[in-house]
Amino acid sequence: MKKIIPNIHNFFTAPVPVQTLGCFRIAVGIFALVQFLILLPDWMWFYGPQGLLPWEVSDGLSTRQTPGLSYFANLLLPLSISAKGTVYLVTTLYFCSLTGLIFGYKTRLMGTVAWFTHLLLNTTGHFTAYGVETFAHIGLFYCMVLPVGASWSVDSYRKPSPLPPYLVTLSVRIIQIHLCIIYLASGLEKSIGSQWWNGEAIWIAMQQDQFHKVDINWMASLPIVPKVLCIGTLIAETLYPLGILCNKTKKMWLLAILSMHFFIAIFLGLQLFGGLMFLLNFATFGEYCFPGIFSRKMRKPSFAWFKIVNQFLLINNLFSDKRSINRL
Amino acid sequence: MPLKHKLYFSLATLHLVLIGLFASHLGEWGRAEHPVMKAVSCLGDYTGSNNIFSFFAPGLSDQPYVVYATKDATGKERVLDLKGNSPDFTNRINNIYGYLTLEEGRSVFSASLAQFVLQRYPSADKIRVAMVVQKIPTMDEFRDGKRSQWHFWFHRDFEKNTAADKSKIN
Repeated sequence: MKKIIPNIHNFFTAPVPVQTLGCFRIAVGIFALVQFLILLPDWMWFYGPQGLLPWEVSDGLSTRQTPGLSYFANLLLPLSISAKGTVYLVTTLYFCSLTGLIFGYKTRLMGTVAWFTHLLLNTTGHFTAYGVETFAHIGLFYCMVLPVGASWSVDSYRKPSPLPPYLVTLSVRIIQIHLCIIYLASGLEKSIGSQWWNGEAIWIAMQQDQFHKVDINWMASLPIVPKVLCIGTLIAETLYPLGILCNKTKKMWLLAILSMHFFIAIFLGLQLFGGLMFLLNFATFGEYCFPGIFSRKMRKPSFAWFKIVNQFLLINNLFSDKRSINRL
Repeated sequence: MPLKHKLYFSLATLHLVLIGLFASHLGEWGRAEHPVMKAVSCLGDYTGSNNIFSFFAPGLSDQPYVVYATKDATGKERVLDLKGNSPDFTNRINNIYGYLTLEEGRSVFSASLAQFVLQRYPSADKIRVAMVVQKIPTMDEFRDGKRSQWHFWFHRDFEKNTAADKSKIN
C-alpha cells in the first residue's frame, strides 16, 4: 500500500514526452484520411441523401442526439445549397481538416472541424458504421480538446508555446486510461460467453463468409489451437490495464495487443479496424513501454518534411535553432 | 495545485467515469428517459464516452446476408448481390443486414434496400429482398461431417410504382 499511492501519484504527475501527443495526432489523422480515401468510391452510398439508407430513414430510426447531414443541409438551405451539395461541402471540409490535422497546421481549428464533420457523417451513416467509427470519433475528439499540436506540428515550430508538463501528462493519461477501460470492458463481455472459453468464437468468426480469408478447417482437428487463441485474447484484453501499466509486463503486453490487432487485420479482413487499434495502441503506449522511441530518435532527421512545408508556405525563419529544440 | 489544474483534472475524471459507466451498459440500467440520463447520454454522443465494447461478445451468432432478385417488364429475372467499390463495403453493408434480423426494423430496412437497388437497375419493375443466414457447425459437428449451410429466412417483395402505397409486402 505504501508503494501504491506514490506510484499512482507518480503516474499522474511524472513528465511525459510531448511527442506522444504529436504521434497520436498524426496516427489518428493519417488513419482517418486513409479511411476516407478507401470509402470515397462508395461515399454517396453511405452518406448521400438517397444512399443505402435515405436520410429520412436514418434520421427517423436514429437514437443519437447529435446533428446529422440532414440537419446541416437544412441550415444551408437559405444559401441554396442542395442536400448533395451539403455532402460535398462536408466531405471537402473533412478532407481539408484531416490534412491540416496531420501537419499540425492550426491544429485546434482543424481538430474541431475534423471532429464535427466526422460527427455529421457518422450520425447520418451510423447504421453502416461499426467499431472503427467509434474509435475514429474518440480519436478525433481528443485531437480537438487535447494539446495534440504541441509537438511534430507546423504550429509548434511557428509559434512555440511551452505546455505545462502536468497538462501533457494528464492528456496522455486520459487516452491511456480510456484504452484500458475499453479493453477491460471488451474482455469482460467476451468472458461471459462460452464460445470464448472453448475456442468456438475464433472458429465461427473465421468460418463466417464475411471474415473467411484463410482455410481453417484444420482447426477442427486441433481444437486446442482456437481455444488457446481465444483464452489468450481474453487474458490480453481483460488484464490489459494491469499488464500495460505494470513496468515488468508493459513491453510484452503492448507487443501482444499489437500482434492481436495485426492478426485481426490480416486474418479477419478487418484492415481498417485492426489498423486503427494498432495505431492507437502504438501512439499511446509506444513511448510509455519503450522510452525514447518517439522522443530520442526524432530530433533532427524528422524535420525534413517540415522544411518542405516551409518552402511551400514561404514562411521565413521557420527553423531557427531555438525553435527546433524538441521540447519535453 | 492551482484552480485551473484542479478544473482540468476534474473534467478528465468526469469524462473517464462516464466512459466506465457507459462501458458497463449504463444505458440499460433503466431510467433512460430521465433528463439527467438524457443529458449525460447526449454529452456522451459528442465526446465518444457513451460506447459499449461488445465486439464479438458474448459470442457470435449466425451470419445474415441478403440477396436481391429483380424482374423487368419483359419478365427477365436477375439475381443480384450488392457489391460496393471500396474494400470496406462488405463490412458496412453487413451492419445493415444485421438490423434486418430485428423484426421491428425489417420492413423499413428492406424497403430502403429495395429502393436503392431499383435505383441502380432502373429497368427492373419488381424486386425481392431475401434474407439468408449462414449456419456454422461447431468444431465437433464439423469433425462429424457437418458443413456450413445457408438457410432461407424471409423475403419481402416490392413493386416499382408511382404511388408509394402500392408496394406489396409479403
